[in-house]
Amino acid sequence: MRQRGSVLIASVWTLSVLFLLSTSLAFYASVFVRSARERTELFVSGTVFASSVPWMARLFSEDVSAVNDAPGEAWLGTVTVPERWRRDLWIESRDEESKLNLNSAPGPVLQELFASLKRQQVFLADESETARAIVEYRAHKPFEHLEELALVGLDAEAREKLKPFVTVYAAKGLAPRVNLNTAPPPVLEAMTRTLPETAGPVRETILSALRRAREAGVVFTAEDLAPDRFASKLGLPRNPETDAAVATLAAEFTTDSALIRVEMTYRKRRFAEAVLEPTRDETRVLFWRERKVALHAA
Amino acid sequence: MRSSQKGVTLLELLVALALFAVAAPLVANALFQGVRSAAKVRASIDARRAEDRLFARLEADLRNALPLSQAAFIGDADRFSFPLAGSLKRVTYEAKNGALLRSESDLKGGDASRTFLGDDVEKFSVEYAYADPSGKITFLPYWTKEPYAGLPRAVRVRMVRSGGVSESLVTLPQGHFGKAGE
Repeated sequence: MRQRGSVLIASVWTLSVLFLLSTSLAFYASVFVRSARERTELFVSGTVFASSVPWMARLFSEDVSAVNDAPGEAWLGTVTVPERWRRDLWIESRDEESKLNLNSAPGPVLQELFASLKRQQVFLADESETARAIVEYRAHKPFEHLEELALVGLDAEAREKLKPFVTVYAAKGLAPRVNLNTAPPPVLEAMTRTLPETAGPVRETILSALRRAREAGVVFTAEDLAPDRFASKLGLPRNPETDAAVATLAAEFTTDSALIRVEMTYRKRRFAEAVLEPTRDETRVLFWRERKVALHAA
Repeated sequence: MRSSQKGVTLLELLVALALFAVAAPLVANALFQGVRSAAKVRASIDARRAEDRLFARLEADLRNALPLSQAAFIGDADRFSFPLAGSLKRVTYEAKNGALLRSESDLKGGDASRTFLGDDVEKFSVEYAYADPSGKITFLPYWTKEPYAGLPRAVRVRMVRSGGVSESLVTLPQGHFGKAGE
C-alpha cells in the first residue's frame, strides 16, 4: 500500500495530460469544421449552378421532338436533378418563347397583357403608362435584358411578377414568336384580344377555342400553324373574318422553343437564374445571375 | 506500520512536490505555447477566410456582370467596372492608396457608395482574355470599351499583399474572348 500516493499522483497527471490532449483535439476539430464549412459554401455556390448548365443543355438536346416543344417534356417545368442533389436542389425551367417579347410585341398587345394581369392582381402598375414607357424605351434601343425594365420605372417586385409573361430574348437569327403550346393564358388572351378591329366578335370565339384546346391538352405542331389547318384544328367556323383573324394570329405563333430560363433553388432559397440557348455545339448564356448559397442559414 | 498504511508519508509528499515543481513550468509553458499558437492559427485562418470571402465576392460579382451596350464593361490594368445583374448598378473594383475598394453607382455614374474590402494591398493587377486568330489565349491588361465589345470571357485578378499573393481566374458565363492581333 506504499504506492497509494504515487497512484494518486500518476492518475492526476494522466488526467491532466488527457485533458490537454482532448482540448487541443477539440480545438483542431472546431477549426477544421469551420473552414470546411466555409469552403463547402464557396464550392457549392461556385459549382452547382455551373454544372447545371451542361445538365440542362443535355436534357434539352435529348428533347424528343426537335421542332415542337410542349408541356410535359423533360427539360420543362420542374426538372429532375441527379440523385445526389435531389434532397436540396430544385431546378425550374421555362421556355422564353412562351412569353411576349418586349422588343417586338405591339404596344396595344403589351397593354392588354398588363391589363389582364392587373385583373388577376398580379401586376399593379398602370398598364397604359407601362406599355407606353416600354414602347418609348425600345424606340431608342432594344431591351437587352429584362433588368432594363427598372429604367422604365418598374421596381424589383413588379419585374419579378412579369417574368413568367414577358421576355426580351430571342434565338439567334429568328424573329421572336410565341410558343402556342407553352404560352400562359394571359399571353394568349392579350394576343387574341388585340387582333384587328375587323375581327370583331370573332376574337372571343378564337380565344375560347384556344382555351378549350389547352384544357383538352391538344399539342400543336408546326404544320398546324398553316392558316387553314389552324382554323380546323381549333374547330372554328370557316368564314372570311375568321380566316383573316386566324391567319394573322398564326403568323405570331411558333411551336418550337430554343431558349430556356432556368431557376435554381437550394434548400428553399432561390440562388441562381440564367437564360440559356443550348445548341448542338455549345450553350450560349444570354443571362446569368447568381447569389451566394447559405448552407447554414439560421 | 499501521500509520504508514493509512496516509501519505512525508517523503512521498516531498518527492511529489519536487516532481511537480520540475514538471509544472514545463507543462505551463507547453500550455501557454499551445494557446499562443492557437491564437496565431486562428488569426491566420481568419485572414485566409477574409481573403476567400473577398475573392468569392469579386468572382460572384464578375459572373453577375451584365452585357449592356449603353453601359459597357471597362477594364484597365488596375481596376474594372461593369453593370451588375439584378440591381443594374455599376460596380467598380479598384485599389487606391493600398486599399481595395468596391463601389456602386447608378448606370450614369452618379453618387457612388464605397465598400472597403481590405488594406495592405501592394499591387492589384487585372488581365483580360484575348484569343489570336489561331485560337491561342493571351491575357492583356485592358478591355476595350470602344467599340462595344461585350464582356470578357475570362478575367485574371492578382493581388499582392504583405501576407502573400492571391490570384483568381474568373470565367464569365456571358463573356467572349477579345480579338488579339488585329
